[in-house]
Amino acid sequence: MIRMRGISKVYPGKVFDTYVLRSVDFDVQEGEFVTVMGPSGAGKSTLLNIIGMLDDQSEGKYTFLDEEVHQLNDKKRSELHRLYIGFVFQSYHLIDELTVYENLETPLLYRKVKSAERKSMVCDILDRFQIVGKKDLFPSQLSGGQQQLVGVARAIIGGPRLLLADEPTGNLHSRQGEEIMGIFRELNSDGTTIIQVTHSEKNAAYGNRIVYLHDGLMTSTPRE
Amino acid sequence: MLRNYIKVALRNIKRHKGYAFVNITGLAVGMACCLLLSIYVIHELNYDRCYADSDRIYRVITYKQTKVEEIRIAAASPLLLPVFREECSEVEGAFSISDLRPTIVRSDAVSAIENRIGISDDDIFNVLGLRFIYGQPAGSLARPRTAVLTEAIAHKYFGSGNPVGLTLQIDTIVCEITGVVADQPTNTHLKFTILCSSATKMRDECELPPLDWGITSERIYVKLAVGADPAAFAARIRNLPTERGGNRRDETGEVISFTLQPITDMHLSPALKWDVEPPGNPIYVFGMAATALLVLLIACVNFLNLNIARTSGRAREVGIRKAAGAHRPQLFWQFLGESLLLSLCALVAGVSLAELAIPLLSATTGIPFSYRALFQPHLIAVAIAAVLAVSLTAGSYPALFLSRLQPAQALKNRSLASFRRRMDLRKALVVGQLIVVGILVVGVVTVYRQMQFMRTQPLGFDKEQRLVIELTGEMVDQNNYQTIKQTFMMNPAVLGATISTSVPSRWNYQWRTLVSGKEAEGYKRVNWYGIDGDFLEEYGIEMVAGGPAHKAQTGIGGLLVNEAAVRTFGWGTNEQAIGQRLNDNPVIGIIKDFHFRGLQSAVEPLAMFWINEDYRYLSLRLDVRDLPKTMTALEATFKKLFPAGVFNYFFLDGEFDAQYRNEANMVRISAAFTIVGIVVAYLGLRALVVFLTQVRTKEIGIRKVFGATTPSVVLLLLAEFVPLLMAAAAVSTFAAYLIVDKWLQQFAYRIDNDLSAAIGLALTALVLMGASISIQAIKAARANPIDSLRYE
Repeated sequence: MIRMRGISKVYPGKVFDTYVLRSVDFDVQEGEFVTVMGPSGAGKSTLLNIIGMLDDQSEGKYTFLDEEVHQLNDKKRSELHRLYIGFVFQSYHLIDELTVYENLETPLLYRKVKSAERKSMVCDILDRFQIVGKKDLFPSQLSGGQQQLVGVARAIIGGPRLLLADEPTGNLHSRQGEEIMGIFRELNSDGTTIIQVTHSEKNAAYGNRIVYLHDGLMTSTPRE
Repeated sequence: MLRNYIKVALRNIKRHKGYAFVNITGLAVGMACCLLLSIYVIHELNYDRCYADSDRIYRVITYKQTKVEEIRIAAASPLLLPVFREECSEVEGAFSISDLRPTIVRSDAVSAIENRIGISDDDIFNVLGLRFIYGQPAGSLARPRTAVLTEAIAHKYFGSGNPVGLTLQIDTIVCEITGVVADQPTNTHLKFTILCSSATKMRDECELPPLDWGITSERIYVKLAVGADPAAFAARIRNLPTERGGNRRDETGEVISFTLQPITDMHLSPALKWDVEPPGNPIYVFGMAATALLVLLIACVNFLNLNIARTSGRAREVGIRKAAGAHRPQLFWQFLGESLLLSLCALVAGVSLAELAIPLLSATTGIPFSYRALFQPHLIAVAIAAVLAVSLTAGSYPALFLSRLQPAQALKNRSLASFRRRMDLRKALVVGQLIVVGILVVGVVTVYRQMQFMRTQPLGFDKEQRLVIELTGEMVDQNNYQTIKQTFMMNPAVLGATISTSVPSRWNYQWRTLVSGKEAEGYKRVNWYGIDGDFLEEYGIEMVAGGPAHKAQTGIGGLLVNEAAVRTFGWGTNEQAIGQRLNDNPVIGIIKDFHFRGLQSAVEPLAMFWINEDYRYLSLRLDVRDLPKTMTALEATFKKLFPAGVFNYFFLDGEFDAQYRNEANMVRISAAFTIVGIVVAYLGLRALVVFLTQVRTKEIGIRKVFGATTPSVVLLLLAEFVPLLMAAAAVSTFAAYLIVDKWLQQFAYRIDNDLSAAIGLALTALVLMGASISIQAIKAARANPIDSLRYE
């Protein structure tokens, strides 16, 4: 599903360029649940952003579902992103001005799903996450765990084939974290490919493969 | 999708009520100001454009050139009309109009004094294309003693219904009503209330001298045919008097020629002699137009600034929306739409505000604007264009910038930092705003000071507590004027009385005068007053040489002249001037200069003679302690003396100050707009300060954690603004100085253009703005650092 070759990310500086990713090769098969681990500043989030097409790589080739992402224009790329990728953030990133219901609806609006269908999709997901009672509340009226539930729901409402999660439980206490991870496992067993970034060994255990990033280099084993 | 956007936009407005309020009000007020000023400016610029063929209608100007001066007169000889009508193929129509002085008009029900009664003929209707409500244009003014009324006048004297066939007494002449025309707009100088046929012999026309080319008794208008060349036509009529032997006054050296003036140019051209109404002042019109644009500009800049400040906090939302699959154009339109929504709200509020303020505009300008004045197609078009322009600029900056953000970057909220780097533009905008406000403030204060100066300047005569009653020709003559004075003097509240042909601030004779010792220079224009023996004492005018005027047995007799005449005519000292002659009348006394007109112009030569006819003004010096009672008593006295007369009076001080009406209007209007400008600009500055402190909240928190004191943080924040304020103050002071200097030049008597006042104001503004910023800064500086760091 994902095939990355020689992916680098450079922030040019006045004296030295800063490499966040150095020539990363990375493959993910459909149905995998991959965990990316590594210390702060190792480039985990950047890698995730590049995979999710929220950011561009400086060098390298990136193939997503047989599309050469590095050769696509902006429009085509956001098309791919919109159709196949869901994103979960550490700090939830819900739109403060929208209710839970409307937040969930937003990705469907951008995908031009028809009104009736949209309604049923939102209701389904509210039901599935057991947050029907919260649908008219604003994000600020929810606890962190509930907000992240909405975040996850929003990420998967369009039925993405790839779910990217950037420290999804980083701001949650352990019981809420477990709930989210449980959902991830469920999603994965239903066929959604998941890539998560985490510091937590416990969360990593939910996945079926771990890769490590150190100073922008990818290894398959942790480095002490 | 659209619903979603609108929802977000509305919730954003709700969430940032303060911002939205400031934003919408600022723009609305700015827009209202601009609309109101535009109404006025459009009114002035469209003067005399209300006629179907305005661009083909011209007025004839008479040039009188003598050896010493050149006079341009807004009237011409009636001899031109037959020439135009019979000899000139390029003339489609021509008419003459002359004005009666304010005259009593009576119907069975109503009697009142009317201004602007014209004497003309049928052709005026064809040339101007006036619409008749009753009657026919053709033949309506053909017979003697016929009159055409305007709708308003017809209603005043006859109520509703068709008055054609009824009669109206104008002065002593009974005229038959032959037609009613629709009321004319306020912005034409061809206004009239009643038109009498020129075949009617009015009483004061009886002694008209024989017609010649030098007579300027009529205003003459000519409509050229389509395609006729006005320049060629003007050249053709220029030397008509010479060609037809009209310039025979060789002894005076006077040469008469004609020229054409498009009626659409008349209002904003320099004043001509004997024009029917004083022209508008282009300085004021363009000043107003500039003010309108500046206020709108300030409001727009403000809107722009606030909008950027508000939307820059929404970078995160952009990131989320992008992560949720939004295209860049979708985001672009979302932001643009939001600013459009805001500015539409402002438009609605602004138009309503302007609508509510129209009576105010009418009161300040003295022009009765109707509520429809706002709904002119081009005004609406301009307003909508302004809204579009504002929302496009205000919306597109954040729209372009935010929608371009990489989502990964936007989510990290780096955007605020990068906005900070983009502050230069906004700072420049705010400085520009402050400069404009500074100029407005200094300007208004100067205009106000000049007004005060003119009001308090010694005028050389007493104007307080002087009531002037206007008399008309048939009331008073040589035999009864003393009795009339005595009758009014019987009222104990009347302390003194005098009768004269003119009073200060009002019209006076300007006669062609031969000056002794200067006969070679031909006739000069001199102001003349006819006075009785009490005038000097009643008005407190001082004699500086010679004896008081004495009544001559025949003719005008001995004259009093003012010092300006002695100076202008080069008669040497005041004493030496005694015995000099004007039109062969000996000068027997010199009076101190007094300002018989407003202080805009220098005192001109003036000669006073013993009044022998045209007893026009009765001035009473009053004890004003019980004014209402006195006025009732005076009116009763008047009615007893003149049962058919209309009690028409004014107070001299009010009338004199009315000469400064233009300036006073300017003070009021520009003061109002300056206050608006200050408030809006202040809001803009404050919003910028709030935004900048917000951006630096984290920095301030960190600094405080590491031991920064509150004062040092305040200084840090002030350092960013104080140079801006100083720059704005310096530039605006300098610019205002130059502008004000130019404006003051038009006054003969003026205040010094004192830079210290401007600097004082600039400093005050600086201190106030600085104080406002400091409060903001202190608030930020005293906040608990932990709070700010936690939220970052």
